[in-house]
Amino acid sequence: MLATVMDPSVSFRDAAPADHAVPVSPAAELALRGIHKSFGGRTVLSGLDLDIARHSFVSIVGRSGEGKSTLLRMLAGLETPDAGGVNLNGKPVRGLSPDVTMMFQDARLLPWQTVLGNAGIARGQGWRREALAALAAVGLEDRANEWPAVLSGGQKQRVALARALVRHPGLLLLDEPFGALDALTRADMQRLVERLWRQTGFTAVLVTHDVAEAVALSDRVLVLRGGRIALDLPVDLPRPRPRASADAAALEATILNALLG
Amino acid sequence: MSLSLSAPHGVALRWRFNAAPLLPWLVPAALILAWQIGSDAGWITRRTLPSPLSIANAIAALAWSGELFHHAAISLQRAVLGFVIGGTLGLGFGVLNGISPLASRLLDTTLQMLRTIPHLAIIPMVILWFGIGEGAKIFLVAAGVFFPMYLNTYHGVRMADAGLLEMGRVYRLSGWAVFWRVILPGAMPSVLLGVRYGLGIMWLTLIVAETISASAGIGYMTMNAREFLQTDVVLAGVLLYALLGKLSDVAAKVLERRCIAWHPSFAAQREG
Ligand SMILES: Nc1ncnc2c1ncn2[C@@H]1O[C@H](COP(=O)(O)OP(=O)(O)O)[C@@H](O)[C@H]1O
Ligand SMILES: [Mg+2]
Repeated sequence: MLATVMDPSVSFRDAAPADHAVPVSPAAELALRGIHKSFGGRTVLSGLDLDIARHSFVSIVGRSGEGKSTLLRMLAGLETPDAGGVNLNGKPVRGLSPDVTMMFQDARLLPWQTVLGNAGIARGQGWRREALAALAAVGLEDRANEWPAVLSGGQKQRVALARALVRHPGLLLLDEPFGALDALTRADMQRLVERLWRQTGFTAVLVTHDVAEAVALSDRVLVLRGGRIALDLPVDLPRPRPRASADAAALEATILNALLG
Repeated sequence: MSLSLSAPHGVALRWRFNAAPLLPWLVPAALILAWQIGSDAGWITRRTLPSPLSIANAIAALAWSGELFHHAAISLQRAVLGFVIGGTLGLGFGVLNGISPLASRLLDTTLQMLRTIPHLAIIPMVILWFGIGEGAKIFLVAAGVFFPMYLNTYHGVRMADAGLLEMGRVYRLSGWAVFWRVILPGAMPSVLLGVRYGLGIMWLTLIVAETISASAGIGYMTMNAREFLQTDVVLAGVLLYALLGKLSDVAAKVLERRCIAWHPSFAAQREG
């Protein structure tokens, strides 16, 4: 049990960029201009502008109900802005793109499909091989034929991550995917996502309510407040990042101030 | 639970015997024994209730002459045909109304109204329409099975998990794939509940229909025996219905295990 959760290959120390577990995908870039969105007269996003560079790891933090999920769902093509536009790789986003995939707070696995069947949900050509490779990348290849019901919360999220990897996404959107996990599992998942991001080179946008997580993982932290980006803070710390460094603590303090502001 | 009997000094005779599986059968066995004794002693008249042994004899005689299988086969055929027709229609309308708001608005109210009519109440009409042939019995069974299948399928499809449906959109599954891989398996526990209700109604309907009018089948066999005061044959028919009911219950359970093996209540067992 512990052996699968604490898989040694999931440590970021050995995450040399040359060691590719999954094929590289061309990272996506995003440009949002003048985004407005309201639900029933309640404005959630108002005049939001944002550029996200290829292969960057961006975190979005904000209080509950500030519209983080709405923004992320807009990047996925699940919501359309009332005004303004989202460009993905220079083209306007209309509906769901094959290049974009998303992880949710709950794993959203099909209970009636095996772990393998879930990882290869889209059933493209050679899906079994691809799904097995992705499961290997998240350290779950030996659970391929089991039902999701017997997995722990962290393992379910890893299957969801494998499912996302099978798509070779240019853009991976993560909506508080570790929010429901215990601290240790959460730390494992963070390292795993960071390692896969470095190996496969997708662009990552992570919504989190955990400021330390945002600083530990991203190149850039955005604070969403009042429907706009209230703070856009680059995180220029070398990777792999040591835990609880003084530099990180200083950045976390800045972000917390902007959040509470 | 285990029962242990040992000789006073525990040397010569010492055997342990596991009584747990037999315990539930103790009361029925005692009742049957008392019944047989009561009949032999003449406390229970043959007219009221034939003895267990005479029922067993009647069953053996019916089996020997082939009559038993002839009537059972005819009843089973009616049951299966009626169930397949009513069940398929119920499943089809349940799915249709579950996934199409237009179909649901158009049809659901009508079906809910029809549901309030007890299907056995229309037996006189059914006999007028179909005569006393096979059609009448199959129609009644189908009508009885239709509603539990329809209601449970409709409910199961409507209750499809919104999170999983959204996941299906993100992964750009086709409408077909969403139906087969997301909606239908999710509705399966509910559909199977409909199957089990339907099976119960199926036998009940058939018993009533065959008793009222038939020229073959278990119900006919018992009604015919009643005319000749063959109470042992009547009870043999009752037992046969019970056996067939049990059989369909077992079939439903097997189906359930196969269709929802993924369900947490079953999935965990594979681990252990
Ligand atoms: N589909 C919807 N219909 C109505 N209101 C919504 C919908 N989606 C989000 N909202 C509202 O928009 C606001 C922002 O929601 P959300 O983006 O989920 O916030 P966050 O993820 O930052 O907690 C909330 O007030 C929420 O109630
Ligand atoms: Mg949210």
